[in-house]
Amino acid sequence: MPSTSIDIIRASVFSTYAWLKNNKWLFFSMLIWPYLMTFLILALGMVYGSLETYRERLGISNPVLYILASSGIVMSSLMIVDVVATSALYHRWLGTLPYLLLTPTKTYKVLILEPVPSAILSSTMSMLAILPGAVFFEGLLGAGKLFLILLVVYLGMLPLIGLSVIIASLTLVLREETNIASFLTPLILLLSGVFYPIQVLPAILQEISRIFPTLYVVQAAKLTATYAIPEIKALLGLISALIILTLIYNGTASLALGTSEKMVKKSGVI
Amino acid sequence: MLINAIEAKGLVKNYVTWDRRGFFKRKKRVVKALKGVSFNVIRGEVFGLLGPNGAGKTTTVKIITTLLLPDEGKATVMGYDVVSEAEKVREVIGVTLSVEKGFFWKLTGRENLKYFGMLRGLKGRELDRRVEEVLELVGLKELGASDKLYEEYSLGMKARLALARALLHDPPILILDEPTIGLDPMSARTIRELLVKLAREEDKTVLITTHNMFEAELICDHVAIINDGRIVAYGTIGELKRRAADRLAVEMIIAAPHTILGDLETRISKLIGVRELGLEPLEEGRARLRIVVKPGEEEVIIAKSIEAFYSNGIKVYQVRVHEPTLEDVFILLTKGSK
Amino acid sequence: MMRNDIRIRAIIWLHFLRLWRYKFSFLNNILTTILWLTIFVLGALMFIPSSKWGEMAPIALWGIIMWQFLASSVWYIGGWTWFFISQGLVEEHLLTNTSPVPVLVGRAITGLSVTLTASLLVALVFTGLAGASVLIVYNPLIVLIGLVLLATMTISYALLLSAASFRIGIPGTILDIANFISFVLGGLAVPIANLPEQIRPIALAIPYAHPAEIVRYGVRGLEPYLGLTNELIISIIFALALALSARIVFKKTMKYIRKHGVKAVGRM
Ligand SMILES: Nc1ncnc2c1ncn2[C@@H]1O[C@H](COP(=O)(O)OP(=O)(O)O)[C@@H](O)[C@H]1O
Ligand SMILES: [Mg+2]
Repeated sequence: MPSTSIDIIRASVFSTYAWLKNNKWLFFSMLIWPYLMTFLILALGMVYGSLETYRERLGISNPVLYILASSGIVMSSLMIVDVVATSALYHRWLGTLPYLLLTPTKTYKVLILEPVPSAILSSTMSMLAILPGAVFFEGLLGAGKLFLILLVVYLGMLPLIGLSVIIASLTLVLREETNIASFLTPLILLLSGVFYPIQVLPAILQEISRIFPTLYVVQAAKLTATYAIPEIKALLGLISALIILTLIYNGTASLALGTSEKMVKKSGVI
Repeated sequence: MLINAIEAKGLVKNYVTWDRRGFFKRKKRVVKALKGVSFNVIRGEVFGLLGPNGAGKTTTVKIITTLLLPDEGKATVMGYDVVSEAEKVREVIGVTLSVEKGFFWKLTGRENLKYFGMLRGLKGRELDRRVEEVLELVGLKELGASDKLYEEYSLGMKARLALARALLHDPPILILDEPTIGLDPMSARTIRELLVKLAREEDKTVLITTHNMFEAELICDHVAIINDGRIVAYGTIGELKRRAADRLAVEMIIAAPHTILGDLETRISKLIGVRELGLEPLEEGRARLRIVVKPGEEEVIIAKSIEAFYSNGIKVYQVRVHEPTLEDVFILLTKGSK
Repeated sequence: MMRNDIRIRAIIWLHFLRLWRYKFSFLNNILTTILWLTIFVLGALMFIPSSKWGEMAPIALWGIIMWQFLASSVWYIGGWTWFFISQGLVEEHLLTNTSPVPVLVGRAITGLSVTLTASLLVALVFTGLAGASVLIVYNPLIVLIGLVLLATMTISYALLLSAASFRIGIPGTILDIANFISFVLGGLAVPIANLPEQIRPIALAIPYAHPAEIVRYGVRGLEPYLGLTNELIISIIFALALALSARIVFKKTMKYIRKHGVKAVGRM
């Protein structure tokens, strides 16, 4: 009987739970990291210059909330790419990759669905972590805005998962022990203008950044941090961009994975 | 001149561990790994320290190789005390602690040997010569594995490399902890033959630990059987077998699908009321059952077993009674205490 | 003595060889480091009016370089210990009468290679951003002295962490937090004189602050907070004290493992 998507997800929810239970520190890290990043940027910025300059340059009303939200986005993107792109590697280390591939369904489905629960969990965690910060600055409205950002983050995850599967296929084929593509996450984030306006980057990089989903997620966060009530029209634009990227990336990913699966089976490096 | 290459007297070792109980609770527990272990290894012999898992073999090896301090007792190697003259002891021993780790993954076998040779003070042409010699000796050259990365080695190659490192500085004494565990028959045989050759032709003293009786019978001059932290028997293979001379071994081949093997041993021992038995899985869902009995008892035991097996639906294919092997002695001596 | 020479040669050879064999990881680490640094630096630069970029860029750059000294010591030495222990390499070295300490210190070769390459490349990025070369220094010798003192401290600190990981598991997040705190409060990122008055005593108590002041003097000619001579003396005392405690603690740890056996306890 072929495994259904629900079966795969249920199994994965369980293993994520067991894993977190045994790695309580990781759980704690997820909560603490957005604040650490915010602390770092704010502390550096304020001893070098002033918050006022930052506010003016980015044209936002609440810089601290914006930095917090950006840190949350950075963390959740990092976790998604990390979880998805390394899950195949991780299974190879553990020697469970062959069993994973033996699950009676398409490998693509397994590789995408298997890491989804931990990816959702970790991005929710990172965003929830900054909830106290948001409530502190803007009360209930802040919490509402955060919820809005969280929804966009979920949407942004879809193309990001596709992208990560492409990376995973590459690492599998290249037979590397560690995730040698770990530089891709900071690269994507750098190009998405997380803590600064995208305009400070050279024009060519600004063009390239359009293909990365995080750009739109960051912009959505900026919108919500700029206006009391973000413009629906601008938000809708970002959302449609994310949907288009989802289709493109996941299409490519299924092709890439099919190819790499064949190559892996041929060369026997499972 | 010294007669004994290694002497251990009254070695005691307790490990302190903490059991995890729930979230933050931990409970201190003392594991009595050695409860007074004494034995001597004569120069130029192959000595086997035999015992089941957890008996204390590795702990004994670690104490003799200076890596672990005994709580009580004393041990010397070539007359050097393992506690106060550790550095000197380390110069005269070649050690393998594990057949599957202890090297750098992204270095080749040859590079790994070169590195550890340099740490031992070898250099230049002398170093190269020794490295080539030991690679040849353990058969890694023949396998064409000298220049493969360690991470690409099979277990057999890893074991050979570990032995090569132990031989690198040409030490008079070799101390090897389960040097053939998990190896394919070919690799295990190469290693065993090499050990015997080293002892016979180069007058090296070899101490190996194992729970493979077949191996011990093949190569050991003397063996000591360790169980639950105590030496329960010592002697030549012949002497040990004679210790069980007033015994007979009843061997039965029975149907034992792998699915029920788990608790079959205890079930059988309850069924027929004997404690000293060993069960070894064979192919095709069969298993070999060995029971050590006093002469004269064998008929009763056989009758009882067949009856018990029959009423439990376990098929019996073959029954044989013979003189005890080392394995039977081992079962006799190690099962009794637990 | 002869034998120690060969040993040191062996250890250096080992680490360069491994660096070469792990070249993809090496490049990936450098790239990752640079990208993260750039993200944070760009963020921090947004707080500064463009007219002051030329002035602040060298301080920020050198702050980051010094922070990398700390972070890479912690990860390349401290973080590697788990691998070293779990692969049974501690015992294998002891059997050749070699202490694990020089082997672990040798990891600084790997750490420094990443740090120096990444720093150089980040400097190029900065030069592009600030419009002037940020690598021209006022007194190279003083910079070198400051960096050597800093490296002594960070390597000793990493060895203390190593020693600890023979007995307890240290969560990586704690180490990152400690590094961040040293970076901001410990005067690596900014001159002590620029910190708020109340924080300065904390900075002065963190050893790294002192070589950092020396380095900044060498780079920009900024007068060290306690004066150059005083900072030199204090730095040397701190460096020696840290190195000595690393030595003592490691000796104790080696005794401990001989008593209780080597076990890989926790992974960083
Ligand atoms: N470092 C340690 N800490 C706690 N207990 C240990 C440690 N090493 C071994 N033991 C325990 O000591 C006993 C003897 O172990 P060992 O000498 O490894 O046996 P063997 O090598 O014969 O299988 C076992 O019960 C084992 O669990
Ligand atoms: Mg053992």
